[in-house]
Amino acid sequence: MKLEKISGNDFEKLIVHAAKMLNSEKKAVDALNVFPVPDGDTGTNLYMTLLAAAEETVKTDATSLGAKVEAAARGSLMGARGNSGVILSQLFRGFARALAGLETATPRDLALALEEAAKTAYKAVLRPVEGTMLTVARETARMARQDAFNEDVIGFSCSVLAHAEDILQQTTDMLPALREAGVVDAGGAGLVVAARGAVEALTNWQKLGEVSPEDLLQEDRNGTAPAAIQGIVRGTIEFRYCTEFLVIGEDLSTEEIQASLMEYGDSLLVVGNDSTVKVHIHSNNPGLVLEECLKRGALTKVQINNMEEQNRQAAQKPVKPLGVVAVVSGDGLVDIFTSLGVDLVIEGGQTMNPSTEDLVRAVDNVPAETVLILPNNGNVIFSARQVKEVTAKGVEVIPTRSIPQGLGAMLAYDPQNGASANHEAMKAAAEAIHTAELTYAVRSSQIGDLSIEAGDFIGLADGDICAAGPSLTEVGLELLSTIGPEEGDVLTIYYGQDIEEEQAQAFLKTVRDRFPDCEVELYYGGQPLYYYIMSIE
Amino acid sequence: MAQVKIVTDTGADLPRELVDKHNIAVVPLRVNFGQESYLDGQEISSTELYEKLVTCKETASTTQPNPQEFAKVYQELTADGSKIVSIHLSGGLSGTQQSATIAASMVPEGLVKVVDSRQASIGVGLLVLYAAKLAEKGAPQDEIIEAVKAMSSRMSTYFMVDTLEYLQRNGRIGKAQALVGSLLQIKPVLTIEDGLVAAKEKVRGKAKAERRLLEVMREDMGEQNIWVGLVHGNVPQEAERIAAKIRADFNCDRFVVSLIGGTIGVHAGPGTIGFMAAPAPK
Repeated sequence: MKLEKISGNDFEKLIVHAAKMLNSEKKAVDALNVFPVPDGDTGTNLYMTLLAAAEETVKTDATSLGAKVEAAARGSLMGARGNSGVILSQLFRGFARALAGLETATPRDLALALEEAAKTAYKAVLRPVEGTMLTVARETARMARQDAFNEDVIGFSCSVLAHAEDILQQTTDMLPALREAGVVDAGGAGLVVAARGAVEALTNWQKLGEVSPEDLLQEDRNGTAPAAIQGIVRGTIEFRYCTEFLVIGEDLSTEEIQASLMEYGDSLLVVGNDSTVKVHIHSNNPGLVLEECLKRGALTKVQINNMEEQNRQAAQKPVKPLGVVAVVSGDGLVDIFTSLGVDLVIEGGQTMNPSTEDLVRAVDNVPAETVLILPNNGNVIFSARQVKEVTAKGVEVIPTRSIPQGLGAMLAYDPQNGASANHEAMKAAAEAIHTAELTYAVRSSQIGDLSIEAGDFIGLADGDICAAGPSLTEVGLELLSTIGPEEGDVLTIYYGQDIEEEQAQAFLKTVRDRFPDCEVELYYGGQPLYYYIMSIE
Repeated sequence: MAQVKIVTDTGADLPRELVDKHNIAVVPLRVNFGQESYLDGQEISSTELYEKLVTCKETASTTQPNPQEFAKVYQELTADGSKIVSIHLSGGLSGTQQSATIAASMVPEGLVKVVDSRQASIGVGLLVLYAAKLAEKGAPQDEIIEAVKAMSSRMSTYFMVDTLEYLQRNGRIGKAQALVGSLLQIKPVLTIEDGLVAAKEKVRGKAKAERRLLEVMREDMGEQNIWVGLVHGNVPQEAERIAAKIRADFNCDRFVVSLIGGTIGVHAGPGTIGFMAAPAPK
């Protein structure tokens, strides 16, 4: 079956069906959000906009294609919802402008109109971003030019749709946010879904002819949408090789070729005429696909891409300018440091000082040009400084002497800035923090006025022993008083692996009661030997 | 006589009495809670809004006005031959400006000019008040636009949120994204940089954040006369306390205190405090 021209009546069916398709897939499009939260509404917004366009198209008494498309443009403008809806309305605006006054349109008219649509939308958007539905519209229009002399609207449309789907897949690589989330652009996806609905309407002409657009829309509003034809979201790749080629021959039949390839994969698209057929398929057996088509004609422009490899390459993290290595012990503290942006943690510190070699290995494993090291212990600073001599990478050591100093330094860390700016800011931030640590005495001793029994709890303020005694809580409070937190200071307690949570909560309450003007927070640190590590900032 | 009228949106957080006093047209965004959608400031009160923000399980969102809604306002206001300066939320944060720009192309050319404020909340509000003041004095359209842009470029915006959750939920967090998921309670001093939310400083503790908020503003503004906007996410007492400090410490030529409405509130959340200032215009 061949369709040389598209009429106003045809357009009405296309747009109604496009809206239907989008309705059934809108949730999947909504889900294509770069943030892992259920708040995406791109699909819904596009659908509402397209529905308004379709309703206006059906409502108008005019019958020419130009008038119908004009009505769609008007409807979409009034019903535009969200940014994606506004862009869609601008696409319609350009499309309508190009088709104005036409009774019917040929593929050539449509190709020109698609270009005008993309141009209009680009102009309307103040800061066009590549990798969005704008890109899909523009690139599709560009490719459609190549098919402009196709004499069949159906063949033309199938080909345009195939282009659109390819370009949509490429959006993932165009925007960093999309790449990180591993999704295609939601607006682009919505556009492709709608286009698929329209093309579906064209190919199922007879079946559709029996239903009036009014009924279709009514059905839509009642929420009885048809099942999705093909999900747009590709989670894992089932068929790995994207295979594309042209078959040149005589008396080729797209139907026959399509039927013969069905079993080899998905995303199958076979379009063309009796002498040239374009095949697109995702398959795990591209060889068999080629063999099958060789029976029918000569092959040319063969392209086979491993999509898994493409995805993997896209997922690989590029080398960044700056990274951080920190020396930490205790699972809770490791988590906290990691959450603040440390790339790699070396377990150790108070109990076991890492060697220069350990540090070098860590630095080399961070995919960054320059690596900042947080020793978090006075005894590690020296070996950290040695790293510079050994590795080819840039290394800066922030001389942090305690865990709280390390955390303070991380708060000042800004990967957008250079290494030396960070070094300065982090060092200053670390120095502004007081550290209080609670542990026990391994032997009896006399330090200044303080006589310490073996097994006593002892408190260290910024590394100096300043309190000792048999009660952990008492020693803790005395230690904090020595440092003397001021109003508005933040006092953070990290409790170690030998302290139960209940015990820690009780200590938290005692500290809060004693220092009511401070904000006191408690976190699990999981560090060995030190019951509590506290920071006062 | 032809005159210039000022149009803005609900993202400017201007108090009703100032809007009325200066004849400013405010086009509302929609605030959505799940399936329910309200015109901000018209169909939902601030009390309801803040209640819903806490209780509603579904993430609240906002929808920009569509071009048609702007076009209607533009057509009405220009019917008497007036021109319009339409000042809107930063294009980096909202598509509102986009809709306004399209609508401006639907009325005769030159009648409506749209300005990207590059600000949010009362930051937009201060620009709008300045524009209204110039319009009242009979300044022409282009002069107003230049003056507004100049003020915007000298404006400082700092704010702190009670939790980063609301900014994150709606994807409006921009460069401050890295702070989310940090296990420590961090109260960053946030700012708007190139039209996007960015963390000026990462601070532990609310008291410290508040202190830094005033300090960084002092660094920016110094002793000169300034126009100040202070906005809050339904914490009037806290706002009043900070307002008193600002009045005492800064040379405030004009001081607007305002409750954050739905358009901004949905993204910033309850408990937000924002401080925006610019050198007072001559």
